[in-house]
Amino acid sequence: MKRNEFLATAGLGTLGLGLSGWGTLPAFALKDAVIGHGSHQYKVDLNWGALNPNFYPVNDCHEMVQDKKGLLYLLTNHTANNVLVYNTSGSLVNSWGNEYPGAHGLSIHDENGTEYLYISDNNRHEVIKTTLDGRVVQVFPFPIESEKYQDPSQYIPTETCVAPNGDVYVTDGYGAQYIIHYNSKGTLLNVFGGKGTQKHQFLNAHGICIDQRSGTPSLLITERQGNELKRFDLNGNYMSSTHLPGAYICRPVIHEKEVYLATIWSGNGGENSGFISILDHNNKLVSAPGGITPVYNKGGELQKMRQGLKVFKHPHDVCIDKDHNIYVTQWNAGKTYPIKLIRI
Amino acid sequence: MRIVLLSFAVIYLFNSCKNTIENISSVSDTKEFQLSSPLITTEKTLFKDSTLLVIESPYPGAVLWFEAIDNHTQYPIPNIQYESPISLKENTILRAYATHPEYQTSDTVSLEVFKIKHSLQKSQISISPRANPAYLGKGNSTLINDTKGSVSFRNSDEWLGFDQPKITIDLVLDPPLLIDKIMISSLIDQDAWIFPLAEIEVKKANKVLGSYVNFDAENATNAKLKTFMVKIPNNHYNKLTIELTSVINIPDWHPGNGTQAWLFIDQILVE
Repeated sequence: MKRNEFLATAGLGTLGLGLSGWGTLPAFALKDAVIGHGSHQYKVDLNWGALNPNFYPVNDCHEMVQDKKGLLYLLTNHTANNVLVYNTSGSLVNSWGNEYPGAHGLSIHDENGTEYLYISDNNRHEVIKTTLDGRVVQVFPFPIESEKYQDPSQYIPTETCVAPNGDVYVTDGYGAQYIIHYNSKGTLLNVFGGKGTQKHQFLNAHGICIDQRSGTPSLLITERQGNELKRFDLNGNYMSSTHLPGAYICRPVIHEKEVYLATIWSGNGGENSGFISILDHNNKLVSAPGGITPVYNKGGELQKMRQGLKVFKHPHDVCIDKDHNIYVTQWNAGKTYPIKLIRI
Repeated sequence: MRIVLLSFAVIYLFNSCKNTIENISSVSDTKEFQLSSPLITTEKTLFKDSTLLVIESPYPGAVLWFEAIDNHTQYPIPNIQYESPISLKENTILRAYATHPEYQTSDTVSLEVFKIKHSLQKSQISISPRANPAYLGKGNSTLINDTKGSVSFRNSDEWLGFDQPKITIDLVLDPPLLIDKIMISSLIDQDAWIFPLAEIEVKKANKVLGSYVNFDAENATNAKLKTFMVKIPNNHYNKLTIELTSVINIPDWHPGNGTQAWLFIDQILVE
């Protein structure tokens, strides 16, 4: 019997028992934690996807994507099993991958009915395209033809995305901060961005996605250290920025009208200070599960965000299912498995 | 009875050998989570006359508590409920935490503010070796610009970060100052491999005037700003050498065990 069912059966859940001083509750008068704000609030399942680490170990759980069948692909940099495949109930259905020591970014793309994964490996300094069961079909190596790099070690890709025409964009988020634009065959088409503080440049171009909500595809790219979400057209021309002060956003994930962003650090950038950011279609922060209540001043500026509850340590990615539940993967979180946020 | 015990043993062995654990998904209750620490803000960590401190809540309905410790024990009661900004006129350590009836009490956060007795902005400073190129701050003057950094070291130019075992700082004070205390303001963030100072020695012409050994340097502690003080004979000084020793071997309890710790400093203060 689950704890909630026990409370309902015993009729204790609604008893108005007085508090025995601040900071304490009678042990049986427990209440489900609800995090988030406004229309985006969630209960927290810390046990979702937990496995026996002796058989399916993880180090950092970097990213997660969902395929058309609803299966969830978790990418970890543990080479015993770089990819763990779950159903939405959190049961393991498959595992594969031993050759991705720097497994960091994971994207999924449907090519004429067949889905492929793109793994950004920041140890191998390349991007690897695989089938859903792990067969390598293409490698995007260190882009020496870009003339921006002298050595593979300077190129540390963190994320990819694929445009409707099949073009592939790679963010060099831990390297020289360029965005590398290829066609689907891997021919280099363009390089833009680069390290710097100008609008079209980046301090940690960590994540990227294609935004098709307006009907015209564009690129959303996170500048994690700058707490910025930047928009470029598909030719690499800078368009606009959304500043999210105090939010060290990892990668943008678009689901329906909203943009969801794992926020690895917050406030002044202290460790274990992460939360989740949810932006509406106007790029306004409408909910921050694990964070303080977002406040905009009269000038429309978001006040500096920080963590409010210690639900997360270092959220690194989010995956949203059809029921709007969020699966949160974390970097440097004690080798723990993903956390599920259940939409209420 | 033996059969029953044997059955339990067999079930236990079977479960311990399964390659997955039973998925016990369930939602968490409020008491499983801790409030984040409140935020203490001030416009001036170093001030000439007074400074105002504000404590901000981490969560709706949380109650904020604080204590302010200064040389005159300005607030004799250990914990006071925070209601409005606090004005301070002396060197003070403000400590605060948050409580909520449904969540675990937050960790305590602290902020130290200093009254500037002598500005060192016109002094000459040299540092050897140089800070790591990733954390050069505003150069050597970072340590004497009367501006403190925050725990946000990643985007800040107010910190010098060193990954060396010993750092030597030479100060030329012009004019000479009457001093009996040297304070080194630093950052501790062990999750980022930044450890406290292990030792400070203050010298004049190779003669040791005072020293401080931090016996807690290798112990685990929360991320915070911390100022270390060395007393020296009350005298007029125009040249001083400050030698800092960092934690050379990160202790076993930390993921970086056996490697050189980082040392972050942002200000030298004298009184």
